[in-house]
Amino acid sequence: MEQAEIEKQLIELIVPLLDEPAPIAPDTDLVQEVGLPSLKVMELIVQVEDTYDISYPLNQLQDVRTVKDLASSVQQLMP
Amino acid sequence: MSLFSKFEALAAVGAELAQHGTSPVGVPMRRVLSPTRAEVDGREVILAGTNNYLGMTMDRECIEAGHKALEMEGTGTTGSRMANGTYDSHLALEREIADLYGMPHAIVFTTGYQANLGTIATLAGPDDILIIDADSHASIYDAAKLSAARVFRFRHNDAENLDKRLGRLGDEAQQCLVVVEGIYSMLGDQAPLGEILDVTKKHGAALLVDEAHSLGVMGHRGCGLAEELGLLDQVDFITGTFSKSVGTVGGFCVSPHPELAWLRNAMRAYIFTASASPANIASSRVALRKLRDETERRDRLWANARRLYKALGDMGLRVGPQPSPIVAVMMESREDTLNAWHTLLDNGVYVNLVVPPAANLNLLRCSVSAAHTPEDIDQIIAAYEIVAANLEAAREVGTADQACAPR
Repeated sequence: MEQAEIEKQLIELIVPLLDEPAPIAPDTDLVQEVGLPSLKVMELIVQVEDTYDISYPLNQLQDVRTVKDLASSVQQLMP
Repeated sequence: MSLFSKFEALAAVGAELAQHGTSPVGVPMRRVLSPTRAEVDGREVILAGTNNYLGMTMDRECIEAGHKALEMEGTGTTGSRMANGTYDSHLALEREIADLYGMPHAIVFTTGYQANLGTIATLAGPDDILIIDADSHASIYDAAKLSAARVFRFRHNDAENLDKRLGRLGDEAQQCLVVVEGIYSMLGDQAPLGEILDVTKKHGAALLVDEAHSLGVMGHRGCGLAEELGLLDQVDFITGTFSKSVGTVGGFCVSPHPELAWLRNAMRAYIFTASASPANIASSRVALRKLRDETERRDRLWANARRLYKALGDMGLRVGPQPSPIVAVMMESREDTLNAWHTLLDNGVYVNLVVPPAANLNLLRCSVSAAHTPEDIDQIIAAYEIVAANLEAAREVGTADQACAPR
């Protein structure tokens, strides 16, 4: 799957998790810019795992700031 | 921007919780009167949020054993278990825990938090994999952070989901430590241990069960959920705490694998901290014996737990999925939870308030004790009836508002 396609799907997963609606682009910093709380990040990871049928290592999260970062790590984990 | 900027949101939650007078966060117990009574906010209240499941904190024999050790061995050990902090009593307690579980080896830690931190973070090394239940306690999450292993979570209490994760690992599953809890601390639900063991065995993974909330509460000898289900000999590691049913402070790990002893010189949370004080160890030893022998405490605890769980459920409050000494009520919002907490306190009942970010739910978390009398439970139920009535009244006003709203 193309990374751009994953980015689009991830944005669809992230938007419903926001307390207040905000525009999300591939370069949006999820914590700094839209303030996604850590508990919501955990919920997002559960959804990502189910969507792509992967196991996402929690340790990898510290390197993820943007949708693009997340999409790239998801792509690497996909079989 | 300063070092403190990142705490602004947390401070705002704290300020909001303190708006209505006494804050539920760190509420001062002015005077402790018994395992189930204290003076809070100028009035005597029933303590229904203490994890003091067997009422052991004020047991005469436990207190006397502590007194005696305090007189004989002093206030503290001033050293690590690895240096000068191992007294005969620490070793005796370890033998007694190993005997209680029928296992060859036990290690005692200064706190339950350190038992998980030390055991989990050390067992799962750089080439290993750690899979934890999503609803795990903070000490397990912190151990995962500290461990050099790859860390995955599985959906809470979902053995099928765990099976999927272990399956994806292939042969690597044999290098995997799975961590679950006997009774989960927020909603009081139990791990489906039989199903989880079937899955871990199938893939060759090891299983650690944290029995913090089930020690003294389940099993004929009080060992916890694994004993209750007849699965003690199948679990690879059990951790637990003395700070709940034992009524003191400390933690432990036991295992059927004699190699557990090798971890002693590798666990930083065990080495780089002072050992538990002699009084604490002496009281814990007596409490553990009583926890095993005085099975009537467990009977009283469960009678209280079942009664309260049923009564709150019958009122229409959203309780956890199964009866447990932890009786949690799920609330809609932080404001509702805070108001209900004050209503309970005003009616002489102290429970725990749990709101995000401490957990992902708004909860009134009640824990019952063997030391609660039937009259105490009556009073707790009566206080919750007021909460339920207030919620119902608010709902009706809400519905009426909606009906009147312009369309």
